[in-house]
Amino acid sequence: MRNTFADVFYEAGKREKRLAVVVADISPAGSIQKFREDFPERFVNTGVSEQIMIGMCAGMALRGLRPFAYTIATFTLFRPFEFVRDDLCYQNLPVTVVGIGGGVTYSTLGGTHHAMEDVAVAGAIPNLSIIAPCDPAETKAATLWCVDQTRGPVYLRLGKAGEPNLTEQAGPWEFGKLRYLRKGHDVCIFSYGPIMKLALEVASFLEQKGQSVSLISAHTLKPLDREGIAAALTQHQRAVVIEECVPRGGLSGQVKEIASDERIDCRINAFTLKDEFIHCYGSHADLLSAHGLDLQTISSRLKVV
Amino acid sequence: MITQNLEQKAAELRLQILLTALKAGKGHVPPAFSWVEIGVALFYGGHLNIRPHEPQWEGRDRFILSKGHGCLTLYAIMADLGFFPKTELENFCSPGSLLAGHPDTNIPGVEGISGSLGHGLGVSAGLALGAKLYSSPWNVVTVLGDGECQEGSVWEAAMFASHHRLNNLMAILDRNGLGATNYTEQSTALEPLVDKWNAFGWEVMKIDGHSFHELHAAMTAFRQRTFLKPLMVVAQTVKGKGVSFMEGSVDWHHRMPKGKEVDEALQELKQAHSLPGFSANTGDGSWLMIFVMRHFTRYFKWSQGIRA
Repeated sequence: MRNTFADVFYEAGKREKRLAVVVADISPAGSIQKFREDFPERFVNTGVSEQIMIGMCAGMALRGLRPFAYTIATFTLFRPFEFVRDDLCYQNLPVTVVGIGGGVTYSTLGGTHHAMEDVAVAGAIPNLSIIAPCDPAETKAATLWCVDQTRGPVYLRLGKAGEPNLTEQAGPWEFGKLRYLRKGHDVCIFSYGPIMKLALEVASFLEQKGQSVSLISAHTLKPLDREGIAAALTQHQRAVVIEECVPRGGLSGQVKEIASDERIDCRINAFTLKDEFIHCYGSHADLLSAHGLDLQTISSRLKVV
Repeated sequence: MITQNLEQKAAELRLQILLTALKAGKGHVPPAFSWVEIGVALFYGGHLNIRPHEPQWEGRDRFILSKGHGCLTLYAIMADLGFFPKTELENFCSPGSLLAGHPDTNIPGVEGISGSLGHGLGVSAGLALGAKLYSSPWNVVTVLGDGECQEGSVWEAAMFASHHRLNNLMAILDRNGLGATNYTEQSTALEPLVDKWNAFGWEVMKIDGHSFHELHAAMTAFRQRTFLKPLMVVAQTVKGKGVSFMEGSVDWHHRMPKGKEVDEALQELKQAHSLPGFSANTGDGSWLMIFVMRHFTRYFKWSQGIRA
């Protein structure tokens, strides 16, 4: 996803001269390095100064540029949180805050590098849109949308590198709209971000058990497609949410809220990260598993016979 | 405008600031008073290229009040210049008002929000860098508080601005010696400030922030210089300047005058306003000595209280 973002951004930067990337001492991946070489004046490294990375982006946006702040998710969002809130969101400036390694992607680096609550924290700020693509194909569409949008600040939550493409067969990506990766009628699974891979495994498992499954990418967490979710809950007997975010403030609670608000009778199972700092190191899958996010745990909890 | 007129304007604005705050029963008066001459020199002394009736004019200099709690001065100036009707001052902090206790971008002419300290210099640096990228001919000016310099983000921005040679950026530091609750040198000492900004790669001038002569010299130098460094003007000021019992006092940050204090303050400000050629200039640079002497007793009592 990181590399796809870089490629798309570089290409867009050739035509859109207002694009700039502001990093805080992170080594530019792939084409961002090329962007740096070809457009040195539009590549800014603030050093290890995340507050100013965001403040700078606000100033540049006030001057008419379209800056992308780019570093690891914990450092684009948590460290300079109040700068994101005041400088970008309060002023509603079209700056994209790119968080690499959303969730527990950086599984060996420990809790300081885990953005477990990024979606919850970002979702609490007025004006801030949140997009969490699940694969490189969605990353491409989302990045292009961010390049041209004038709506306001965006938190673009990415994984790292090497994620498989999962959505090539699906229909077009549209900001603010759910995207069906497959369509069934018994169970609908909502997910977003790289954990979609696990959601796909769960979908296949349920299909093996004879269920007809819809798999839905809720890539735009804010503004959330409430109507789309209500429709999905109405059309299926059971809904499953799988997300790489803490239990409160993410997608799960909102899906339940919509069901409650709209009085939709649909059984909902939510699978999220635990409300815990887990001192476990290993692969991304190991970390997710420690949080109860693996096929075995989910399938046993779904109790499908 | 000649110095005498600027002094007259400063006196007029101080009165307006107090009246605005009294009407609302709210507002940070002393932090507004400390930068009145700085504001007057910028906005009336020909040092900011602006068009009050065309606030979004592309060629304007960008001004950001980083110490947003000093906004009463900015509002008084902007109303006087016609950025918005003067009647807005009467609604300060009321429902439906344009003017809040900290500057907001919905106010014509306010370039960036402030209120949380440590933001303005970073945003100003971004504006200045953007101006460089587009070869825009305008400058960026920001007024910082001294207590604000205890925020780490100020120094992130300081390093950034000098590294990128943002010589289109001038920061004026309202060095009134006080934070909200304490003398800065007693909470976490800032001195030697000039050395610090020098070490961070800025050109630094230290002036009397109530002297139009010195303010004018610094602001003129900013426009004329060929240095590649951003400019920091450390302006020695007195918090609460203009009302004797507020001046340099730890007790006066956002406190509102009450009862007899109101009459005393208004009397002092009106007197200054009516005196042609009233000089707000503390003159010889012995600013710190003056205010330490004046407030020695109060400060001594306070420090004994802390130790006890």
